[in-house]
Amino acid sequence: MGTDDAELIQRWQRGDPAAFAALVRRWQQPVARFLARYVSRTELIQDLCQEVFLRVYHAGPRYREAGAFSTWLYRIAVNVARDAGRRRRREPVALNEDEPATRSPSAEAVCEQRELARLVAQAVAELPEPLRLVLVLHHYEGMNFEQIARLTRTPASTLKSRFAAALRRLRERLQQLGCGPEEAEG
Amino acid sequence: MNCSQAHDELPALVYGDLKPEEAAPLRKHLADCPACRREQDALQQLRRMLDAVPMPPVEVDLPRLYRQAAAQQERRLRRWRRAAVALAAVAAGLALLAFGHRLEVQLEPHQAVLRWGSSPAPRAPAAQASLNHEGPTSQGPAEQLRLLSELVRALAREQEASDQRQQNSLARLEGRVADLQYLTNERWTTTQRNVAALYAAHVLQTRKGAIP
Repeated sequence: MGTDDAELIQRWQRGDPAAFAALVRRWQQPVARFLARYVSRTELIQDLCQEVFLRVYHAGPRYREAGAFSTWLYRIAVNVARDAGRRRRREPVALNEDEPATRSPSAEAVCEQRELARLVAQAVAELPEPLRLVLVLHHYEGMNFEQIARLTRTPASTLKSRFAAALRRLRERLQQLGCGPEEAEG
Repeated sequence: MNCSQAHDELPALVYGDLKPEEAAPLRKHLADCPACRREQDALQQLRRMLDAVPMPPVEVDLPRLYRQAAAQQERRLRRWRRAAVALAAVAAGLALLAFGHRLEVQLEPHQAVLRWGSSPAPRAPAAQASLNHEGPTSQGPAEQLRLLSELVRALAREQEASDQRQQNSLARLEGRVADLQYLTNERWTTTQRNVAALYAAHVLQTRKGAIP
């Protein structure tokens, strides 16, 4: 895919609009998926995705193949998400902290599938931004820590620690909400 | 390897981030430690839960993207144009200061005459009398410079005013869009809460009905 991306970019830089459209079609869902996990406000995803590719369109003539296209693209997506976060100071509505820790003896009985998805998405949104970013890129986008290190300009060892911390916090939060992963009987 | 070290490495094992030689001591520990195995299972369950979050389908609106790009390009060009007008005004002013003493400007009701260098031979008496009769005589360099400066400033002001009007229109439009977005988000949040409450109430009702 890397070679195809490079070819499309070269054609686009030579003035082929179909090449840009092909790049957009290839990457719009991964970018949208990343933004959906990272920003956690589904009503913003369409506009943010549009903004990402608008910036790609403007910056395309200056793109030089110094690394993978995906790294460059995700860096733009991160910047767009952060700019949106600065514009919208309102944080996602956190769940009521007074909810009882257990609503039923078993987590699976309490959390129906949709409720579970909503709670997990909310717990991810509540993570601090540096932890949320590495969680989304590693778990959802499948990037390894070296790739994330190039994208975020942060050492891979730091990212590994953040990832472990993100999982720990997620688990604690979901347990508070009564939907934590249950430890299997040993 | 002790349990604390194992706990630190478990996320990497669950996500396949360890090389085989790095994973071997951890696997050996897990074989002998039920507590750490439970921790591993909990992490794997958490990983599955993370995958349960659905993804909304998204499609980039390419025609709208091209329109936005064209609008942004136009705004950039207007800024460059304003800068160019300002630079031209400064350059004209500097040129006048440098060479104004060699420039003669004659402004009359029906014409403006710019003369460079030494004055021509005196006109015939009749023509001179006609000039005197028709309009004002030529003005000093300082006055000419002032008039030209006024002209350039007026042009620049007109350009600025036009650009400001455009910017104001854009700002009003942006404000309206932001208001609409805010209202939509508020309504969506309220709808989500209502649906969640209705769903919870429905589940509770169903369970009450199921349990005698």
